[in-house]
Amino acid sequence: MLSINNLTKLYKGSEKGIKNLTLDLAEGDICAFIGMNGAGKTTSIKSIVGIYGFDQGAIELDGVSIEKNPQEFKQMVGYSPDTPVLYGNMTGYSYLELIGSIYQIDNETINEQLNTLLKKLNFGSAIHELISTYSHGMKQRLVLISILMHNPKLIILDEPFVGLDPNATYFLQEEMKKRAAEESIVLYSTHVLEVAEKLCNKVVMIHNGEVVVNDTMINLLSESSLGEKFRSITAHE
Amino acid sequence: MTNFYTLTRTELVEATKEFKFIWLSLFFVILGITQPLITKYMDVILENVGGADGITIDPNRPVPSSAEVLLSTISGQFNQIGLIILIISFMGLIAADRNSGMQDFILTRPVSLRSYLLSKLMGHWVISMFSISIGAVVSYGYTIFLFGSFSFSNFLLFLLLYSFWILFVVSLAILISTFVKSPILIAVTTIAASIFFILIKGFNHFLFQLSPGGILNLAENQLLSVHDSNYFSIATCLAFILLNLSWANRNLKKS
Repeated sequence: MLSINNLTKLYKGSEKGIKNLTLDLAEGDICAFIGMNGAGKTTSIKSIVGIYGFDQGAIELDGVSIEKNPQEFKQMVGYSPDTPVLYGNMTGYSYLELIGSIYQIDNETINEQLNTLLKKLNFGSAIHELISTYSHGMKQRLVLISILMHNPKLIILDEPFVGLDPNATYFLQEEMKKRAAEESIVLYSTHVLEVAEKLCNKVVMIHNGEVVVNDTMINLLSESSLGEKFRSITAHE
Repeated sequence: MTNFYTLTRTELVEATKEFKFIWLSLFFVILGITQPLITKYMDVILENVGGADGITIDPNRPVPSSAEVLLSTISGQFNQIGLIILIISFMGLIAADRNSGMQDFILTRPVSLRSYLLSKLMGHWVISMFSISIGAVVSYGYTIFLFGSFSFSNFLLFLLLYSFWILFVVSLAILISTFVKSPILIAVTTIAASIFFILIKGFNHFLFQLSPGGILNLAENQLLSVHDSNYFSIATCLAFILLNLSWANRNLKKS
């Protein structure tokens, strides 16, 4: 269970950030974070994964607080940023070995996981090439493999479909459904509303740092489509 | 501890791929060779290069001892030009991570800030001391060849104590990196602060002994075979290193 209570993070000398975000996600939930650029999606995500400290509120995953037990919390999280950051001098394989070592996954499990994930993402022999030679999409796929390797309880993805080819997009959507069915929680930010409608059972819309929608997808779609709702909220912008 | 080891190894592997071990070592070898050669052959160099008109070199000048030559190599060359180049080589040690997003990558993993900072300290200390040691050993060889023998154990003890100073400088660069974002500014501030700790020797010897720079005096005493040594400066230096790291840890936590 991911429990976010009154999360507020404002940037110094500015009113920008996120105010009073409260959100409860249970195992099996796939939640879309939707909002305009600069609405506060990435700030929320970066606070949840521990990059930013926050001004007030509490974040707990299965009762583990990110403030009190950051390492235990992060051990259960897999996070993919909007722009993949990788060691260019490493090969894809040595990067994954590094990640495995940080999460203390034994080599046998790493290889098992890799065999499956590499095939699904059509990585082939490129995994033994230098990361600096990878395209944006390949880097994105490598990050995906790296965050799924340790079977995280909470998967957080910041605009994950950007730069992915149709096969990788399909894989990611299927993987999100599969992981949710296996009792993980998936939270991701997106501008692709049509996909979110089909994929998610929960939705949070943020506008100017404030939560304006926090509902189940079924409830929201009973009134209007996600696109219509989004346009009505942001109409005055 | 496992993560500290993993991150340190990553730092060292990255440095190897950037050829840092090679070019820094070469640089210190050149510095290490230059001083004894210039000291020994100054008159020959002036004669051949020209421009020696009006300069008289006393043919009866005392020949410096090997200890004095080693001291001028390390204190003069390594601890001035060498230190500046070292600091420039690791000025981006935290700033580059922050600017590239690599710090975010690390901080979203189950890695403690302490492991992250210690890996930076250890990684850059190993790179620095590897290069300095190569340069110093070559310099030692040239010095005993040109100026006579010198106790190798004293030389090693000197290097060991000098390594505490380098450890302090790396920790200082880490601390400054948590305040300042620009790598150039980090380098300039770290160089200025390090030079300050070296220069206060001339102003107030008592303060110098209490500063992290006091370890340099202790190290130099090993070369000059001075027995009246203040071993308390090892503790002082370590205390400053711990202070720098704790402060850096606090700054990163706050940010």
